[in-house]
Amino acid sequence: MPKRKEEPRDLFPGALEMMVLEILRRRPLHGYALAQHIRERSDELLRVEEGSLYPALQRLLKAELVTAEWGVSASGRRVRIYRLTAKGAKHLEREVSKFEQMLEGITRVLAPAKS
Amino acid sequence: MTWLRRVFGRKRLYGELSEEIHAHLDEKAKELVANGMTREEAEHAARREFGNVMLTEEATRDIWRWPRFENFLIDIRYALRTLRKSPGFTAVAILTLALGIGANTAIFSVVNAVLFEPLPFHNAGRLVQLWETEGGSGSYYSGAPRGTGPLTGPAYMDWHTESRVLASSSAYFLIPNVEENLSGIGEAQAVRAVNVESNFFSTLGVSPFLGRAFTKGEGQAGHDQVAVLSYGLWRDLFPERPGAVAQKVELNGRPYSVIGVMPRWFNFPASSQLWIPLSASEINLGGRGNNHLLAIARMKRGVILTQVEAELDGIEARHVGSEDADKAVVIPLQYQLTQTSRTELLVLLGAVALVLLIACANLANLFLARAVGRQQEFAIRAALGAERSRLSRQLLTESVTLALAGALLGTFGAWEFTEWTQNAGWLPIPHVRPITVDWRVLLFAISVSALVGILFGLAPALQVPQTRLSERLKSGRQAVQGVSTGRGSFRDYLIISEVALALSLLIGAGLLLRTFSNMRSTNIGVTTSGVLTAGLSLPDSHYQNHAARATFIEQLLSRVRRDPGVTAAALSWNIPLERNSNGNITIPGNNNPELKQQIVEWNFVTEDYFRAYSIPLIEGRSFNASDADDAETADDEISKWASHGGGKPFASVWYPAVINRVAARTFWPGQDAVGKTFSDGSPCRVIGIVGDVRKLGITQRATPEVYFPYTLGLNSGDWQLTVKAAIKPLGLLPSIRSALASLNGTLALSHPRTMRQVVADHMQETTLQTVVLGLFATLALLLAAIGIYGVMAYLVNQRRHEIGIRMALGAQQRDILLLILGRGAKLMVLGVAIGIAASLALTRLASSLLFDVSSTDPMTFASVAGILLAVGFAACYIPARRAMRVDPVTALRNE
Repeated sequence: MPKRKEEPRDLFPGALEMMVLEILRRRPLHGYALAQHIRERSDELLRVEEGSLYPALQRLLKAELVTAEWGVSASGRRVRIYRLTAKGAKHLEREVSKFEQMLEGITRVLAPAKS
Repeated sequence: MTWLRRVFGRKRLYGELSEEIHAHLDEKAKELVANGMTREEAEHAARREFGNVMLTEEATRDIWRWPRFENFLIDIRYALRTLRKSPGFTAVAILTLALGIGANTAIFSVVNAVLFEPLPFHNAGRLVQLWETEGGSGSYYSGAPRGTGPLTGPAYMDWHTESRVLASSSAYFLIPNVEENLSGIGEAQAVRAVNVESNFFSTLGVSPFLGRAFTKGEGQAGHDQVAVLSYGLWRDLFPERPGAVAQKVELNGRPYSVIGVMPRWFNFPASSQLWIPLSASEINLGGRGNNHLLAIARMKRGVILTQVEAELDGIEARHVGSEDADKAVVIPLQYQLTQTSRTELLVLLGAVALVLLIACANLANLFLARAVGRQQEFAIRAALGAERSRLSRQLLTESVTLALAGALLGTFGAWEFTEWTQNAGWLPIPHVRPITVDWRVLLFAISVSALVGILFGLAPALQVPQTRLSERLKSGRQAVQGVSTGRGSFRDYLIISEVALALSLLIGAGLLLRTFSNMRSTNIGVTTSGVLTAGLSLPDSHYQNHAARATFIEQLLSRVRRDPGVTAAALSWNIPLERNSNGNITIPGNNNPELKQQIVEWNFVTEDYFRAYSIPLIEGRSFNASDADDAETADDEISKWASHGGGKPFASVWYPAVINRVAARTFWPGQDAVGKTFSDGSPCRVIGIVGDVRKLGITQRATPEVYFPYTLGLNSGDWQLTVKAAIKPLGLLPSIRSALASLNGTLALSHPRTMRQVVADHMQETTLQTVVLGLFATLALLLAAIGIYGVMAYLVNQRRHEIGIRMALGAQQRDILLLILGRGAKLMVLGVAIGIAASLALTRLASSLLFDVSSTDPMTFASVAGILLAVGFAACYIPARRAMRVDPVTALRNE
């Protein structure tokens, strides 16, 4: 049985959180809906193990970037609905700009090799 | 979410997390069913997509807590549960650990109180003891550094008044082994009294527990009849009354008012019971020729020892000229008080640590065997997602939990031990500070147990989770061969180190046992059976002159002899082993420069002394009744002659002297010493030669000794009574006491003991060392035997299958026996070799504790190694026999 640490990790640390925050910025959602959202929006390019969503959500809750409230899902189940806080919005903005910078940098380094 | 809610609302929180995750799975499954999957397929798929639900839940929960700490708590809970499930194993492990850690803690509590803790005085680091070199006379004062001795009064006074680096200094005076007569309350008793300068307690920085200490004027005559009592004496004298201050006691017939009581722990100088002022005339007694004062001093802040020595040397040189000046030797008080027991304590601490190490090796082995048995459990936990490090941590938690439980029990035992030393007030190691379990000892116990837990838990913790878990799961049976050989080598190291450690301890114990028996069989030169001794101090106040003392001595002896059980009774200055006094003699006509000024032991004895101790007369005659009178007459003549300005000594007047054999051989080699003369300042003539007697201790060879009739020693009031009894000597005590009381009710016998007891007292330290080390060594041997047995038994069990095959292929029972024994023998021989090498280095450190046996004594080394090998073989033999009886059919069918 493979060890957990050796499992292929598709995302860099913090990427999942960033995407979650971005999705929540548009509207509050519960966990399952979030998972579906990520899968659909990425056209299944990204493989996110659905389970990993929950620790990420708890980290965001703890950092007070999102809040959670019990509500009812479209299918009529009791679910926890997550909502972005002001602090979360600010954090997202910062993270996104940092990420873009990083992406820019990586692209520049890779560019000559490609040409 | 606040911190508090996080802690207390956790159960709900976890429930919610779990609910949320299950809702997710549910929703997903529903969707998949809607897409056309069967319910079962959908649930599987949902779980697959989701990943490990349990791990996710754990990871999610981890966000809200301190995972390390909480995992630790869980591990402990789990450990306790597991340990409870195997009570036998747990009990054995805890008891072993309790014994090991308890013994270590107990010994450490003594080492801590004696060597490590600062003395319980204010700024104790600045307290020093002052000594002075004694110009080559080689005199011997117990406790003084080699070549040094007590101070002379004038030298001390010069230092006391002129030193600028000493904040204060205080002299005190006591005669070793002499007790004085305390009366006035209850029966007369002998107490150890010390004369101290009035600033003694303030120099040490201690205050009385009741009343006050001495004040400055109390050193002067007329004001000096005040006394400070020890706590113990106070409780003895005034058991009911809480206050004793202003009570009167009589010391040597002089009344003293009690002004204070020292705290219970205060014990300086060792075993003092009463402190009285030291007068200026007592300080200056004997001028620059009498080294009799002891002194302590407190250095000023920031001053170092060499500074003090340099300054004191300078002062001395200014007063007597640098030619004659003796050198000051300054010793930190802590070192001064502990130096004699340092080696002994460190040896004991080292020994007990070795025992603990062996216990650790055994437990490691036990733990390893147990962990192997639990492989399936670990395999399942790993399959469920437990990390390898987590499993190791679990094992370590179990071992440390066990160790702490052992430490708890052991520390309790150690605490009982210190209570006992406190109450018994007996421990043949001088200590000022009471021996207690304090925070340092507790810290020691806790660190040792944590260390021990890690030490014996580490091997299984590192090895077990490495097992190929999937295989373990599949087979669910005996470990795979490759694994067990890997671990086998670790077990080999365990055996080797246990044997080596046990051997070192056994050799140490063996050497001490040899020392003990050498001391026991040492002939000190006297018969010890049926001999009773006691000290007697005749105070100047009652016995002012020689005649009064002589009369008392004659009367006492004649009354003691009235008891028909007494076959001989004598008084003397010194008795064998216990006390010594010495002086210089010159031998006329002897030009050997080494013998020019010879130090000899001397003793003043009544005529029965030699008979009481059965000291053989070798040549000439012993003292008779007339010698005492003759000596007195001679004494008068000689003093008359001396007071007339000296001149030529008369040939007809001399002191009769009996010398020992060593003296005869040293001073008159190859000649008949009887009739020869020598001078101790006055003319003396040898009338007889007696056998040698050890005066300075069992281990100290007899030195030249001269005996004089007691009438020449009447300047002293300190005498030793010796009574030879026909039957039980202690039975004579009441009649001796009543004889004494009939002469003077204020006198008390000091420290009455049989001569056997005197010898035992001298062997007390060696006895203690031998017993304790012997105990440790026996324990070590036992533990090592159990360890060897355990490993070999395990090995045989592991190799049943192989042994079965061998037997099936035609191996004889004998071959199997030799196979197993050979394996054990190889390991033990290796262990013995390492142990011998280690012991050669270790025993040298303890050589000061040995007597008449070399620290590398081949006899001891060989016999001890033999014993260890024999015991080890016995331990191997049981499993080897079991291996021999293996039935190949059953062994193979099992597979």
